[in-house]
Amino acid sequence: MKKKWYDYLWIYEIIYFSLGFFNILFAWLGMIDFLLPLCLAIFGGSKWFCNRLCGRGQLYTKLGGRLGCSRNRPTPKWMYSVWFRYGFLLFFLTMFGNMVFQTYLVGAGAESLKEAVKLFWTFRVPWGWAYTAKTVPDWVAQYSFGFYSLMLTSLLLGFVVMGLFKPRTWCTFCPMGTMTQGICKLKARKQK
Amino acid sequence: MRSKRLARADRRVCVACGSCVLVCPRQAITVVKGCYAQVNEDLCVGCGKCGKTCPAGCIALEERGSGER
Repeated sequence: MKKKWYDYLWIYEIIYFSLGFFNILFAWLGMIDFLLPLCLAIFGGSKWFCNRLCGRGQLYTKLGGRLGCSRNRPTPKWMYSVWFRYGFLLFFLTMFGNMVFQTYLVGAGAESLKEAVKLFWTFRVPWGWAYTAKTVPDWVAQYSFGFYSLMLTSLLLGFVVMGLFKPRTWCTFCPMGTMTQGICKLKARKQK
Repeated sequence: MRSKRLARADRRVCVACGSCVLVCPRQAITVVKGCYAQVNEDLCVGCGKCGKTCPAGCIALEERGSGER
């Protein structure tokens, strides 16, 4: 089958994470990956983002497939169970809310900007080189660090499950995937 | 001639990620309304590529005519 432009979006994924390594403000670009799937689900009633546009899914497919970085073993059942999927979504949204609240605190002057990336919601990694102080309002920078932490953490989690199980095992409990499928199911039920 | 076997996706388990759609050599699978994957029985040749790639393990090969799930 002839390749389309969107079959190369895995390159965008690599560029995105590289850019954040040099300048954290590029983390805001990740909002596309956040809002576009939701818009396509809410207005289009489809998972076209997951199916065709997700650069992350493509990256896992490439690395885990032809490049052999995956054991290609069956994903454990609990990992794609409804309970785990929606539980992880809830956890992820809570952490997202917490991150937005931190941004608010910095914006309101109650907290100071922390130039660090937090991996797996626990490990603080100094990331000061990627930001020159006072280039933008503190809350804009804080959100960048927070959002990049979220993106990098989920990318790494995806790499782990890609290595252990199938290349796209991350997709089974990806919060965006669960959320968009939930929206699509609600929409489909309404149409009946 | 139709193949002896065909793929069937369990729509209760499917996460609608679409990885099966991408590997299908006959373009026999579609993700219906973003809810689940569906195999077109007329196009499927039962090669099993989709089942191997499915991260949720929800696609299995069945004998043709063995009934709906």
